[in-house]
Amino acid sequence: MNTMVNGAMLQSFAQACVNHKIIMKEKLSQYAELENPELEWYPVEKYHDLCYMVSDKYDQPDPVFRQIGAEIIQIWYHAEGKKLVGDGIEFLEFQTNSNGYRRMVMGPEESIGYFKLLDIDKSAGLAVIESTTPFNREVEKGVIRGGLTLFEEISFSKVYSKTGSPDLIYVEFH
Amino acid sequence: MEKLSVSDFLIPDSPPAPDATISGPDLTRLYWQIQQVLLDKKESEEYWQSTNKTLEKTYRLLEDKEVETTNLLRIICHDLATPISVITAANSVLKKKVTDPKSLKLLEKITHALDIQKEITESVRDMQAVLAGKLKLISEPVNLLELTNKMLEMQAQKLEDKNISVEMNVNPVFVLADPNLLGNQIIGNILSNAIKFSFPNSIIKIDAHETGGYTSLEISDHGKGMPKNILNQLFDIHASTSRTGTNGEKGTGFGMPIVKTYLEKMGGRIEVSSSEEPESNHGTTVCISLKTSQNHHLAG
Repeated sequence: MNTMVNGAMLQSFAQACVNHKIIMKEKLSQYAELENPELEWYPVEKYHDLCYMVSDKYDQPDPVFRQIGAEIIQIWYHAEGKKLVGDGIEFLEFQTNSNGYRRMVMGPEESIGYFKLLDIDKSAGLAVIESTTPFNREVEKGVIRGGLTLFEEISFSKVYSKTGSPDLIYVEFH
Repeated sequence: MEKLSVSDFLIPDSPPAPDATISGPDLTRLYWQIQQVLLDKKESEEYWQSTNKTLEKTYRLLEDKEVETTNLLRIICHDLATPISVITAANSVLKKKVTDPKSLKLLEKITHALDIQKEITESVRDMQAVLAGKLKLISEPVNLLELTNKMLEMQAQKLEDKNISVEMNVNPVFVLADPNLLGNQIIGNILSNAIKFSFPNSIIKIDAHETGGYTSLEISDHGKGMPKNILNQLFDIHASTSRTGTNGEKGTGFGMPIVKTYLEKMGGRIEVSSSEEPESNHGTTVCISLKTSQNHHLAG
């Protein structure tokens, strides 16, 4: 079985690309089913095609990927997320357990990887996530950052990785 | 205790009361909110820097594409001119030698097709020159009556072929324009259209009047008029507005966009109204306006 991505994720990624004028609005339907995207699954290559379009357009695509990630999670939050998570900590836990990432991807374990909360210190406002997913790390950072800004109790959030270990995502939240 | 927000801290409406205090948790929250504003600012700057670089890159690409297109059009127009001239010359020779009526009719069709081909290449070349700013326009007092008469003389054969009469009410007024472009490209083009779309045995009216420092020349035919969709796109060079005349005359559809471009380059404007009403008022009126020359005596 090939690695597949949920249509809802692909559609919100494509919608964010439309917002950034990376793809034309008329071409949105080429990237995901418009009616019930969450019921559809697409090859992961479609996700990579969108990433390629961003990289191809921007010489420095990382800030754009992060912005797109933030927009993807905001689309998700307003569609269904607010019924599922109530605060920033819940959001972090949701995204890193089987309800979050695993709802967006399916396929062989070795290719879908994981998006795991390695450590969290709620009082210090620190968390470490390990990601081995086939997705773009900057988009993932944008997802976390964009998600945390949705909750009023979070005054500050910073999401970053350190040189040499791109799969470890550090989250500061206060 | 009153809770302070970031905006209170950054842009206070009034100085805090001497006994105002901020609680520990509020102070911490305020600290992080300020840190967030600073981080957001830094990240926004990175984002816009990336976007601006892409915009610059796209702009340069578009400029390159424009140069490529212009060069391509220039080469096409230039390379088409030679074979057209050869075919025109050969066609003229053949017309003199051929006596068979059927063959002559075919040669006449070739002549018409060549005329249109020449018109298209010349229009494209002229338009490119104007858009590239390579066409030098002169602005001098031009006798509108004299120029209109000259253009009518050039169209005399076509007027005669359709038995169209012209009613002219133009005083010897002077406008500021490039005489060659105003004559050949603007008035000539509008007159040619008026004749093309006029029904045989009809009248074309030409009037001129001056208001507010501008002189308007109005050319009205009582021809077949044009539908709204054509009228709305008449000046769009990319739209297909080419139609055949009342005697099957063909056109390129480039004429009016070029007329408008030239007029605007000369500081003038154009308005067109048209009706297809079969009973009455059918036809098209084209009104061009140019600045009146106050020193027309300078024209000699």
